[in-house]
Order: sequence, then C-alpha cells, then structure tokens
Amino acid sequence: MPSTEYRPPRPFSRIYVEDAARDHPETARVLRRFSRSRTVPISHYKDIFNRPRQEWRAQKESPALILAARHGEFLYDASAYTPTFGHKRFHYNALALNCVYDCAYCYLQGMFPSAHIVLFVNIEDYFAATEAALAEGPLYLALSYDTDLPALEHIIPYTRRWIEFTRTRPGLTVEIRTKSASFNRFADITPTDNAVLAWTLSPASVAARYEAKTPPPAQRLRAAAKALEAGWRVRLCIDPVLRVPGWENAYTALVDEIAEALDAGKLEDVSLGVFRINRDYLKHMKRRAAPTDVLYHPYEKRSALATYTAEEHKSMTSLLRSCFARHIPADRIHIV
Amino acid sequence: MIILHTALAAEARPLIRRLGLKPGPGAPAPRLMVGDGTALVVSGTGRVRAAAAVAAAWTRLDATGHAPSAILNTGLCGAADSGRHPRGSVFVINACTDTTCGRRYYPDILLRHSLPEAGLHTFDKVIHSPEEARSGVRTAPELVDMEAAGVFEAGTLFLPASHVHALKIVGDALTDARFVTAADVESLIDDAIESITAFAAALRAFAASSEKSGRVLDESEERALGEAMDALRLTATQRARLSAAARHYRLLHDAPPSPVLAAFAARPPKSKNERAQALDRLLHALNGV
Ligand code: SF4
Repeated sequence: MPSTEYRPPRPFSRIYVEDAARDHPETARVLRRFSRSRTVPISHYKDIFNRPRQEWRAQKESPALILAARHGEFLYDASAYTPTFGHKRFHYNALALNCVYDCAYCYLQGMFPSAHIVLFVNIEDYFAATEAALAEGPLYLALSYDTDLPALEHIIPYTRRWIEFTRTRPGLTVEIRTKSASFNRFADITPTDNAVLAWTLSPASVAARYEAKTPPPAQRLRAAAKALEAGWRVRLCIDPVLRVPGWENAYTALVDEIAEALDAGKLEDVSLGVFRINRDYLKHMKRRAAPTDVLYHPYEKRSALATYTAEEHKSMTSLLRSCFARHIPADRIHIV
Repeated sequence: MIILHTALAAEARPLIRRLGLKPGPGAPAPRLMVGDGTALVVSGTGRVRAAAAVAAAWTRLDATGHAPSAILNTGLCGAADSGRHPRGSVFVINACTDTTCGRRYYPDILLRHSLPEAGLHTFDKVIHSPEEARSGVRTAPELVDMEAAGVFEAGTLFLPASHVHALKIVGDALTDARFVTAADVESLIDDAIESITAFAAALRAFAASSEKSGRVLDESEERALGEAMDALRLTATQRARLSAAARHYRLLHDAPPSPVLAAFAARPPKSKNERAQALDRLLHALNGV
C-alpha cells in the first residue's frame, strides 16, 4: 500500500443538508456560495452532530457545514456565568452551533460532541419567537452565543438581518459579540441603539498562542474604533483573562492600546471575566481538543466550575479594573 | 492496522496480490489475510456475514496486539442509474442506508480524496432492477449492495464514524448482475486497485494522525512520569494530579518534564508525611506560573 501523509479536506468542502432545511431559501443561498462543495442529504442534524466519539481535532481543521431547521425552543435563559448587564430578561438564541475560530480555551469544545458547524436556516421562526417574547416585555438577547455570528457573515448574513429586525422593535436590545475584524461588512448599516456590538480582546501574545484562526487583536480593536466612530454602542470584553506568564504586563499593555485606539469614555461598557469553565466541559476538552496548557492549569474547583483561586481571581480583576478606571467610569466596568 | 473487507474471494484476490497479504492468525473462517499494516477479511455475501466477519477480524487482530485503527469495505455494487454511475467507476460512500431497518450511516469523511462520492443502499437480497431498488425505500438509491451497512454497524462498534468507510466499484446496472463472472469481478477490482489502495493509505494516514494528535507526552516522558509516581508511591488521585501537572509543564514550556520528575524520583520519601511534602513541591515545580 502506498504510504502517504494525512491531508485534511478543505473546510466546508462538505455540506450536510437536513431534510427539513432542503427547500429553504437560505439553504439555496449557502449552497450557491459553496457550489464546489459536496452536498449530502441527511434526516436530522443530530445524526451527524450528536454522534459519540467524534474526531474533534480533525473536524476543527476541516469542518463541514450542517444546514438544519430548528424546532422547539428558540430562546434560552443565559448561563449563570454570563454577565447580564443589569437586564432582567436576558436570553440568548442559537442561530448556529460552533465557530470558525479555534480558541484553545473555548467551552464549545467541551459542550458539543462535534466541531462541524450547524447553521439553522429558519431565521423567520427565530424572529417570530422573539416577537412573541417581546409581547411580554423588553428583552435583552445575545445573538452570538454558542458561535461567533459576525464571523459567519460571509456564509449566512444573519448579523445584518438581525440588526434590521431589531431596529424596528423598541423593546429589544441585542448583543452581537465577536472576535472578527471585518466591520466593513456592516459599515453601510445605519447604527441603531437597539444593538450593542461587542468585541472580545486579548493581549496580542495571548491571542497568538490561544486564539487560532482569529484576526489579531489590533485589527479587532480598529474595527471596534470604527464602529464607535460611526455611532454604534460598543462594548469591549476582556474575557477570558488568562493567568499566563507575564499576564500583568500583557493585560496592562492591552488597556493602554485600547485607550490609544479609541475614545474609551464613549464605550457602552467593558466586561471583564477571568477564565472559568464548567468542570465537565473541561474534562471533555482534555479528551477532544488540541492539548494546550490552558486545559491543564491547576484550577480550583468551585462547585460546577474550574477557575483560578479566589486570590488569583482578585488580583487579575483588580489590576484590569484599575487600568480601565483611568479611562472609563467605574459603573461601566462589569466584572463577571 | 487497517482492515479491508470484501464479500467475495474474487474481490479479495487482486488486493491480496497487490498488497502481498499472507494468511493471518486464528480460525480458518472468516478468511483473514495480513500484510504490512493491512489485514483483509472475506465474509461471503450479505450484511450479517459482513458484520460478523469484521467483528471476528477485529477480535483476532486485537488479540495479537494489532488493534485496527480503520476499516474499509470495498467491492462491487450495482448502480440504479448507469448514466451517472457507469460500470467500473469508483465511489466513496458518503451515506449508507440499511434497507432492512431504515437506519442510515454517514461516514465522517475527514480525509482529502479526489474520487466522486455517492449514497449506497444495502439490501438483504439481490436487486434485479432500478424499480425494485426504488420500491419501499424513502430516498431513491444511487448505488446498491448487500454488505456495507453490516460493516458500518459492526465497525462503528469499535471505531468512530470517521474511521469506517466504504469504497464501491460499479459492477452492474441492476439488470445484468448474473452476467458478472468471477473473472469480471477480478478485472473490475484490478482496474480500480490504484484508487482502492490510495484511499486505504489515506485512511490509514488519517487514523495514525488522529491517534497522535491528542498526545501530550511522548513515550520516554510517560516513562519518567510513571517512574516518579512509583518512586513517590502515589495514590490514584495523586497520580492524576501529577499527570496533569506534567502535561501542563510540557505544554506551557514546550520542554520535557522528565528532568524535574527525575530529580524527585531520585529521592523517594520515607514516610506518608514526606510523600505529601514531596508531591507538593513537585506540583509546584511543574505548575508554578
Ligand atoms: S471566538 Fe468565541 S466561540 Fe469562537 S472559538 Fe473563540 S471562544 Fe469559541
């Protein structure tokens, strides 16, 4: 038998299409966009996505797309470890499962059995569920929760469609969180107060080591600055903060870079959170994900969570809080 | 080790010749041939025989310390539309329906290949026409065989769906199966042998790479870790903590933890108290940020 090197397929060279999603116009649009990809009809997305013992690492290198239709629930209560920014009705939805980026610390590696990316094409059902929830009062909705939605915009333009939907729903505020840097994709959209654009930033050294496939933080910061200038509500998230060697200098420098790149006083707020992870997810991640030191750090166990010790937690958040306090009022610095 | 599976001896013969396979270990049935990193099992016709043969091959190879890391079913199939799937063409199967129960298998194809792909339906009887293939099934069959679903069923008992595949060569158009002789079968497999061996090699390379990709410590580092654990006479919980710390060190510093471990292993503790202290110091040395 000829010996050969392993060659992964191109990302998205395979698209699974669930029977229920087959005739949806969004499906047709995605298939047009990936006309060279192989299409495989499937009965249900879980037939692919929920299988046991999947090869996470290889899938992450070359993910397939799974186009599906969501049924049942469309809005979820946010996790207890997510900042709610003072909103009483804080929900998230799942328009996509998984992400094109590959952060070493990402909890999705522990949460989902597969690294293939599911896109739910029936956006109109999400809109209808959101309308129904709005009838009961104002709603804060995180759109980019178990994914990075703006990073998928070239595949399915959901960020744009949600912003347009939100614009005419006074009780609705959406948060769109991303590590992407392509603000140009949204530059032609008139800003709306109903949407908060949130960028997650890390020191360049942390991003280079732990945030594979993401744009460099300097580019993300430029995108955030452009959005701020254009009049958008902009949030910056330093989350997760990692206690890596030299973390004090790295994170202090990051805050300095932020203050230089944009008018921090104009930011909606800043959200800070040290690395914390569900212990079961961490266990799965050690089995599935590419091994990195983040997964093997001697975290403290606090009920269902693995995280830094209380003392480490305190030193990390106080450093960042005091750095940001020089540029932004204290009541706009949220610690998770 | 990869297991190749064929239903017929005539399908196996060209592969045995090409790969230089020799009779393998264990019972005479099912027939198992082995060579360098490859085994081949011949089951006879039918889904149940195929599943049984793959399971038997697995068990026999595993017992000799060669746990297989991938399985590939190959051989002839029928085509419902000979225009789209002409005789002699080779297809990687991307979906396989077991027509007896409707269950569908989707091999997770995580390796690059340049062959066309198709869906396959496995029947429990010989199908004589495209119409017969279409009757009573939910999705119109492209290719038809009698074994692949059994290989997927048995194979995925042992391995993930990314490690169990089928590669089919079109032998007939469902109207002329009885005109395919053993010599025809051999000649069709011979013509497809480059595709079969190249796909099998790619599958083997994928399985080898996935085996390696989760590994943090190499063999000598694992040995040093084991020696330190033994020297310190650690409990199971302490072993787990030390193992995580050694991995943390390896990944954080991109350097082997062996020298740190060896320094501690050289001074075994004399009491329970000393052991706890030594472990604390060792964990600190490995984890210290
Ligand atoms: S960008 Fe967010 S969702 Fe995507 S891999 Fe990184 S942490 Fe996970």
